Amino acid sequence: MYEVGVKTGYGFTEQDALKNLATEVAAGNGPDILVMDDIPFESYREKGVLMDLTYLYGSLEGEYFGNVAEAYRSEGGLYAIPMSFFIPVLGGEKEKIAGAESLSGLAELLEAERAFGTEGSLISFWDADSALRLLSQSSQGAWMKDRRLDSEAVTEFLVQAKRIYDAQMADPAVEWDLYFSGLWTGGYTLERRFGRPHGIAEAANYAIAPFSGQPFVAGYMSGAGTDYKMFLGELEYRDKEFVYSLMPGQQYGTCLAASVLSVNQASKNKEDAEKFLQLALSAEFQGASSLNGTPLNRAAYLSRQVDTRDELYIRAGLLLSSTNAVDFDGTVTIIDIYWPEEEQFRELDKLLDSVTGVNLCDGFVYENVIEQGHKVLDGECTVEAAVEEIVKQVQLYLAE
Amino acid sequence: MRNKAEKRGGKKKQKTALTSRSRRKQKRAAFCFLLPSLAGVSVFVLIPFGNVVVKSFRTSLTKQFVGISNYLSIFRNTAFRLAAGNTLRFIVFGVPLLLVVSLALALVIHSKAKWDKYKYLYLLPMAVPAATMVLVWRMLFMRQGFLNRLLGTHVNFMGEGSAFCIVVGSYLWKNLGYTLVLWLAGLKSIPGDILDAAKVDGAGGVTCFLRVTLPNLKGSMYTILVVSLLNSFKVFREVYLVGGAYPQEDIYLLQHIFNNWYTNLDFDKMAAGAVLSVLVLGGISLLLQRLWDRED
Repeated sequence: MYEVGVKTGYGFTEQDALKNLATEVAAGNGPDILVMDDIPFESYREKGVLMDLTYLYGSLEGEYFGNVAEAYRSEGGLYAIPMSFFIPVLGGEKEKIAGAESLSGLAELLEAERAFGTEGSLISFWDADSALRLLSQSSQGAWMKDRRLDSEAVTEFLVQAKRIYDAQMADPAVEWDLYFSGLWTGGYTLERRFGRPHGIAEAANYAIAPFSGQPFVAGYMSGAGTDYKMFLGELEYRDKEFVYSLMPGQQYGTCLAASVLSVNQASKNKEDAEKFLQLALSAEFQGASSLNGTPLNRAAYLSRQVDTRDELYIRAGLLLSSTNAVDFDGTVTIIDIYWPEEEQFRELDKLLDSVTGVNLCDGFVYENVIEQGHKVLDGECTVEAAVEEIVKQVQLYLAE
Repeated sequence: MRNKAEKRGGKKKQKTALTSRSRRKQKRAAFCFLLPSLAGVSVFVLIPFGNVVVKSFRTSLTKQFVGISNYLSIFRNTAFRLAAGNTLRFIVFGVPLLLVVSLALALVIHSKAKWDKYKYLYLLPMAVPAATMVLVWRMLFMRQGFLNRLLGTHVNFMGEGSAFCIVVGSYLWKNLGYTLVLWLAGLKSIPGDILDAAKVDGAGGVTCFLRVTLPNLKGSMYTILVVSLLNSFKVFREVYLVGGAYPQEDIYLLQHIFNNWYTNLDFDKMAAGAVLSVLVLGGISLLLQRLWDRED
């Protein structure tokens, strides 16, 4: 049996759900398995709620993306394991995006592009909120150091975010694109935490972004799933040397974890909980399910590279699917999606193997930076004033 | 003679025995009447509080005995000190202000007999739901609110130092009518002939108030003070709905930190904080009672 903490449509907030969970945990009736995505991990670990999964992880069969699997290791124990992960990526012309690893590098790219005279949208965001959430995908992990706010890192983030935002919004036409961003206001947890999918992930919804002459696309990619194949199709359509690499940021090379699983130390069904975890991380389950994101299990990820269509279709090299995009002037573009080539999959393998860890940030700190960042990007306050306010709020939170 | 005296003594003893028996009977009856409420208070207040006291000496979930370290940790905790300081400041400003303003209004209303019939209207603010009040606060004090439009500014009043004044003002507005009605009841209970006698003796309005009215209101004042003190903690509801778990630092109250500790499973700190709060509030109540009793 499973229970969703935040019940939509009941005026129920995340805080209410956390309080209910705290009551259950305190009474010793907490769930056997906890999905830690929006639960304060550090607090639960410190209080001894989470079971050490080191032994269980060691007993798992098969190969896993180790840097991601071990991201929640602390004080000698492994207290949570993500089921899947997403990689923030940047797409653009090879010579342009080569070497862009920092936010300042990305800011320079966009400023140069605007100075060159490129009109319309430059990259995949349309307002302050989407800009901040997009850029934080590869940066948020840098904002805290040893459980303290790193105000220099936050300042650097806001300074560069402002540069990037200004470069993008320099053309008033970009604001028209706000209309399109309305399509992706949703309640999906990952979208709220990391921003709505931009450009690449969920490409079926966002196909328009790379076709409106936009020189760069950015967002998180699930890897080897449908969105990857569509993304490749879109890149090929560009008829240029349009490639993708890891998203520049303050935590360049990290990924975003999803469906982070833990076992309740006080569980009365520990054995069953462990069995469930083993199943959830197995190649069979992760390969067969429509898991969102790259499966942690490498075999499950590789199974997504196998074309399961009828042999006749494969031999004939037929289309996998097709999609269309309507440009702002009404031009309809039809894009053919083919099964990726072996070489393309190997490139993706390399990219996933280069991931150094998970981009983790405390939810309270994250939301505060986004909230104050809004004011900076909208010109309501200076970076210094925003950082001062963030420090004040976060200090109180951390002091508790 | 001796026999008579013995007889009298025997009668006396019998009478004493009868009296003590009837007293015992009375005590038993009183105990039976008190038992249901005592049981309720024990089950819902005393026993849970005892549990909280025990918890304050243990870790939150592993339940290891840690002595007074939870108390030491909350004393070192800057957030707790800020919240306790703000709560105290709010009580020090809000409660006396409420008592003085409501008493002044009660005196005015008491002197005008025709206003007395509207006294039920004074209780209306208490009937306004917290959600409605929060909506009004937002409409008034937020950056795009009416007050900014009126003053031609662009300030979030709930995010500035003004937030404290707004919270005190809201507490006054909400509790003024209720406190006023309590004062009116107290004023009505003062016999008119005492005041008349004072006037005949040449006492002026101020002397009458200071020497006759105020001393006669002492009984009501204790009740009103304790009720106002307890009501001052209810202001958290509105503050929380407007400012969330971390409002402007001047209105970050004890309930905020307790609320956040609960969410983060810091039950040990919460228990220690609760015990301290009870000690302080209980201490204040006892002190007030002692003062009142002494003056009586």
